[in-house]
Amino acid sequence: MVSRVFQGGAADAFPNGVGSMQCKELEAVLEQEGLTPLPPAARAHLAECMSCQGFFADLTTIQSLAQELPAEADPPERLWVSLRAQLAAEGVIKEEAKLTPDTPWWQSITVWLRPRTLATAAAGIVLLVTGVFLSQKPATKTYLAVIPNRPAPSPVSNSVAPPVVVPPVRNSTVTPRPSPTEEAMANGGLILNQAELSVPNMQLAGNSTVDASLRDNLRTVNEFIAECQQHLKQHPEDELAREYLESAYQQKAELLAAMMDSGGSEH
Amino acid sequence: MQPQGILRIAFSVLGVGLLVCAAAPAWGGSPEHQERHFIVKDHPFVVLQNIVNGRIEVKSWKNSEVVVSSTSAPGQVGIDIEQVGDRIEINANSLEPGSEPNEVEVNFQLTVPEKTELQLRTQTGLIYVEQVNGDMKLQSVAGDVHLKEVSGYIIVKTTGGTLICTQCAGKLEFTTISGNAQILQPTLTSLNAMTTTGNILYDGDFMHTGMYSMNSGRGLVEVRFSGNDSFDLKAQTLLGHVDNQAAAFLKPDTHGGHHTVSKFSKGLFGTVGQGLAKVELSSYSGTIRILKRD
Amino acid sequence: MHSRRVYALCLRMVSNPADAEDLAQEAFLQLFRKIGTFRGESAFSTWLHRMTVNVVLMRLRKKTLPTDSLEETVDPDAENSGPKRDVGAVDLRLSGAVDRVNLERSIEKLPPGYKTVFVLHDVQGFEHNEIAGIMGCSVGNSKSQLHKARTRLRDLLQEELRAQARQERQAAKSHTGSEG
Repeated sequence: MVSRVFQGGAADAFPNGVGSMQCKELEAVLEQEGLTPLPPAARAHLAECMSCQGFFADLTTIQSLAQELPAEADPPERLWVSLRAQLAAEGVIKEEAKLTPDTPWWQSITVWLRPRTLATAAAGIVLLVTGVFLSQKPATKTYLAVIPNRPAPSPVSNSVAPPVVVPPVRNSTVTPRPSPTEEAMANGGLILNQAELSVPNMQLAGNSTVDASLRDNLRTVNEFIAECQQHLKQHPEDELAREYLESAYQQKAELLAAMMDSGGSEH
Repeated sequence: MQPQGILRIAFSVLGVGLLVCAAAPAWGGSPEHQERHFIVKDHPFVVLQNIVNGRIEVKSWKNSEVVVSSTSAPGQVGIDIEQVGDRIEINANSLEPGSEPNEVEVNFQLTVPEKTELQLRTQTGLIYVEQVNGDMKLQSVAGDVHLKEVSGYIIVKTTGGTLICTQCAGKLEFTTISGNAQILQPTLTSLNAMTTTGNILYDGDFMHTGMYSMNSGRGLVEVRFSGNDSFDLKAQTLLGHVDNQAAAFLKPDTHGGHHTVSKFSKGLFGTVGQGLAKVELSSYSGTIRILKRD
Repeated sequence: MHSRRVYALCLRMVSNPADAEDLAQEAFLQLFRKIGTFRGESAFSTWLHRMTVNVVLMRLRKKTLPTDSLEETVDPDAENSGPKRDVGAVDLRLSGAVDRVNLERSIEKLPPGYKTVFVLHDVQGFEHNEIAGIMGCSVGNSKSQLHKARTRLRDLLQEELRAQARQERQAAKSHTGSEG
């Protein structure tokens, strides 16, 4: 961009010497003093110079718009998990243990092995896994989203053949390898299912209303996940369905974490 | 006095006594009320983790003071409040040995300066916030969340609770599994609402340059806009249907780009006015409805 | 509260949430490692933001090619640096024509130094004396950088408006062409 330093414009525009400040001087004032408050000489120049008026108005618009932009943003939870792990690894912090100094050593092990803690950690892993596969861009969509019932590959001939990468053909008898995203999603689903196994025996919240609400919602989410999976079986290319399935997994992960955190204890 | 008269009086006294007992609160005694005051400065931050059940009500005033009032059954709940600078943290704990924390109930009323940041959490009770301008994170399992004339960066999460947001401003994020959302007369610049089985209703204007995303798995997503609105619309549903009652106001999308709808979904794209805001509606199997308010 | 401002600053500086997370994490790591050295000579937020800005600028310096420069970062003596008003060109008024989306896109294109000062002042509301402490420069330089940032943004926004107008004209032409 060609840049020119403005020179003498104001003098030409005001041959009678009206407006003792020139445009360059106004700019210097704006640079050093900001947009408000303007000294009288600057205001007088603005009243008479259309170009500087436009310039000043634009800077004011930019400043006003900028003030509407969010000054803060919520960091994702994984940032704190990662930070905590790093600080613990460096020895800067020690993991908080809910034990008294008098707790016998064998009891401290029991604390760590307490099922609820493990379940909470499992739910945390679920959330991280969910976060990982949600951040991945989907690859070619020609495969099932859920792996568990993957059919066995067709028998190969006796002559030893090297592994062949089969292009995605729907009716092929050889089941092609799923994409990393689908595999991650399937693994995430399996982890969620495992975490869910500990739920039925839990007295979740000690409150029948909350307990019932949590279980009902878990049932709702599972039904929805099954619906999405069924749809994706028939239409594996459907991006919208995949997005909904991902969201449903994430909701389930958060729900399980909330259930395990809300005072659950096994009967 | 005649024996019959004595009997009559005795029965009357008993009857009144029974009535009084019936009218007495189920807590088995007069409720315990506590109130504490905290002086704050510019930007107070109030955290309330109500592990017991109960209602949380927050209103604002002009004073640089936070007032925390609580009502509960006598001797059942301990309220711990800690103030560090402008941060006030409130925790409710069950005092009864052996009782489950979530069986006990305490209701909170908070009065805070207008510019207060809030972080509130409850299980089944209602969260009600009115005329507070500050970022807030509100969580409930089964309880509803009602917001009125609040502004800020508002995050609401429920499992089954419904959000009713009236005349709210700023940015709103709402996620729920089975709850509904009603966003009425908002002046939000950003909205992200997601529910699996609930319904979403947006009845209000769209701000210029605002971005609005509403997703429901199975429920209804309904948008009612006004004649002054200006937005680009992208609506798609997989198994549901799009009920476009605003065809007369929707022009072909003017902001460049061909919208591609997947062959599996039904889509509706268009522009109202100059398309200055961006509205994305999505439903897996529910209905999407767009109509203009009279 | 500080964490959200720090993260928001990182997000604006790199525009990529994954990079912003890394940067924010690094800034907080530094905070924890160096908290013992904080003597209260400045406000805590200033101290924390200074660490954040240093972390961000260090990362950007590593990514930048040697031929590129991070000029317009802190250059108090450069009188002729920075954008100048191109007075001869026809200016498009921004008021009513640009929105936050346009502004955010233009902010991304600013050089790091301008971007930092602009975000700290106009977006996050820091005063010049605080920014001087954060950036390690003088108050005068902070003001100058801010003005240059705004002027550069004005240029970027006007370019964007012109590009949009051109696109719309082309779209209108092809539409009428296909009908004819």
